[in-house]
Amino acid sequence: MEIAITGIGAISAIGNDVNGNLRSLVAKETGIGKAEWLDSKLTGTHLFGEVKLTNAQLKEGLNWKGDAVSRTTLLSVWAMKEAIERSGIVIDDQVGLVSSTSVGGMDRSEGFFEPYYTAQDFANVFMLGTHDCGTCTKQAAAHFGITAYATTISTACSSAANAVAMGARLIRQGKLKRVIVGGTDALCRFTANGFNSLMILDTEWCKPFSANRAGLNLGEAAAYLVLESREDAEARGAEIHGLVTGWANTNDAYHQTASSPDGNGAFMAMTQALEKAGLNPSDISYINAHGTGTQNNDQSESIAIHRVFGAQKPPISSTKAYTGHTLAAAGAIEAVYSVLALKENRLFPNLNYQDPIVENDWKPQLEVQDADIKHVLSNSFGFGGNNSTLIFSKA
Amino acid sequence: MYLGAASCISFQDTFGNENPWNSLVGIHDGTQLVQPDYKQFVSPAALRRMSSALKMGVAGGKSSLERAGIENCDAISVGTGLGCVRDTLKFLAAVYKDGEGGLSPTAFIQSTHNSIAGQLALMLGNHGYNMTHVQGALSLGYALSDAELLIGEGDAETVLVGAVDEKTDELVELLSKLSETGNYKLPVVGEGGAFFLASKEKLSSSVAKVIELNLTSRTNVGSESQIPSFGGVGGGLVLSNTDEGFNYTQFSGEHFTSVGFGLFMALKAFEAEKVDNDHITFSDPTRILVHHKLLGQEMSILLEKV
Repeated sequence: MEIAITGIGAISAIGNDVNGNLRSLVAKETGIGKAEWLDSKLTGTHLFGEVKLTNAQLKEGLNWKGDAVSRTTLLSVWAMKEAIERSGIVIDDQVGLVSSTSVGGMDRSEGFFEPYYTAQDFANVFMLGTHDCGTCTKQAAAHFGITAYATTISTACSSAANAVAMGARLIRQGKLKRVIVGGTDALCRFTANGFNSLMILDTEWCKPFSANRAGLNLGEAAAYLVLESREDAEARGAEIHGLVTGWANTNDAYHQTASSPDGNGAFMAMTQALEKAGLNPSDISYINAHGTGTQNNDQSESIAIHRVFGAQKPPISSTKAYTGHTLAAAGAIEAVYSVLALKENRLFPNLNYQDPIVENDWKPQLEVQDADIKHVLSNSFGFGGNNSTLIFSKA
Repeated sequence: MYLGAASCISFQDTFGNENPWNSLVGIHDGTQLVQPDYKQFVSPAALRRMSSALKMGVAGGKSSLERAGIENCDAISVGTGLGCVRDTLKFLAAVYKDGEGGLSPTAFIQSTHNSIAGQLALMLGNHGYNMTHVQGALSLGYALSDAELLIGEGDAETVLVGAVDEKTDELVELLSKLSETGNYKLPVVGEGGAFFLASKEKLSSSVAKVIELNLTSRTNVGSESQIPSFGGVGGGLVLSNTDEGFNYTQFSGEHFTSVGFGLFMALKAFEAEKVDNDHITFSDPTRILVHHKLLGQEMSILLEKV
């Protein structure tokens, strides 16, 4: 059974919808800059990929009533709404949701934690009601009336890629007719300080796959795809944006946060995803790399790509320099970009590239370029050794 | 899908106990976990840095594989409602107390929800599918559903499925204050880790077959529901956190994945065959329904002895 993508929705630092994201990708305009809403001391020293809408604007746009909602949920509902509308599906008991997030409603919880930890003030404890990751998905599912199946994957930065794969599996096995898959993460003080404590944040624009790369920029985003069987999509005359043909989830089992020097987990993920899709490495037209801009990831991923593709590498780029690393949403945002590459027959560039990595026999794609794109391979790797690869193909 | 090789760390003497039904004791707010000797599973150096969620995860997972008599599994799927709470709160406290400077990354690294499944992969050298579901009281249910899908797809024959949630004094205080604002009574807060080996084929360690798994979520919290009958438990046992069955949470405490304890006790009931004590009497159940309902989310799993 072929898995069709019949709806896409996205909100990120470079656009409030899919078309906005596409415009920025083509115009080579990054969304990373000085943060406006993130409440953290780090906004003085670091750059962030913030969504350009306030919570109030998101609520107004969604006609959302009530305050018991995190930015993570608002972003999620915003992007899901676009994906559902574009797909034209009706929500019934055959529709499920597989969402993902790394820290759920932490952005709102911090409204409690600040007075609590600085002055033992419990007044805002009610804000913890939207704290756990599951609540974000539960609220989004309730908003759209999804009752059949709604879960949250939290495998750090590979989360949304795993959500896409799980959605495909649910449809292939006839558990559900249609599954909305994707991820969401809002910027928050907890995450910003976490990555800062790991000393992997660049204070300037991140430079993926550049020898002088100095770390990542954090971003926030949400993106969702509507999946259904090709047969069902065609029967209802839906537009098919592309197919999900390959997926794999492996574990590097090397270190809690660092990638192995030989890129083993990434190598296995790419190899197994190609196998699932029934494709050879030479069939891949474009790689949307994880490419965070950290020394460790880009080196390990480069080695893994070389092990899989050898000397014949397709064009490769990381789009993290546009959006920042959007953590649990990254796999979904990049799934949408992969689908756009397929639809538009266009390669998206790797911004801020300066110096070649000496060991690499390739340079990333540096310009927007027309190309005949048949299959796109997208990588998402995360803490906990999680390595996931997705392959998207033209319908 | 078959389940077996159950391993559980809880308020009860469950770890390595062949008949935990005969050693159940009542619990109260101060009840502590009955913990195994973690040094059997983790080096002392690694242990010092590990929260109880990570310890329960590693010991629970490893011992489940030992019980199954297999070196490794094809995949790992963990459900957790709140994940690594201790490290999350520890890092948050440091962020605010230290004014966002000079932070050690250890607590942050260990705070991610998937660090339980990740640590297991690391310690088992397991390169397979590695998943973490975080869906409130349905977290274990979705981890099981994921295992079922993976097995159905032919991508795995054996999946280590776990349910882990930890508590800290601070968490209990926060939940208590939160329950006051929500106007509901906080039950005795529990914690625990339960692991099972799910398999495509019936293994020598398999105890039960999953007949039906039902996961529902209601927006209207507290709305009344009936336990799905699935065509009847047929004189079998019902383990539930409501008064519609034997209430296992009086021994585990309540938390998002307390149903892991219920599922463990169900598998042990199949193995024990006959139990007659102050708490419960049953004889050779062939079917057991395990049910858990919390904050609008409800899981039911019907098992048949194999």
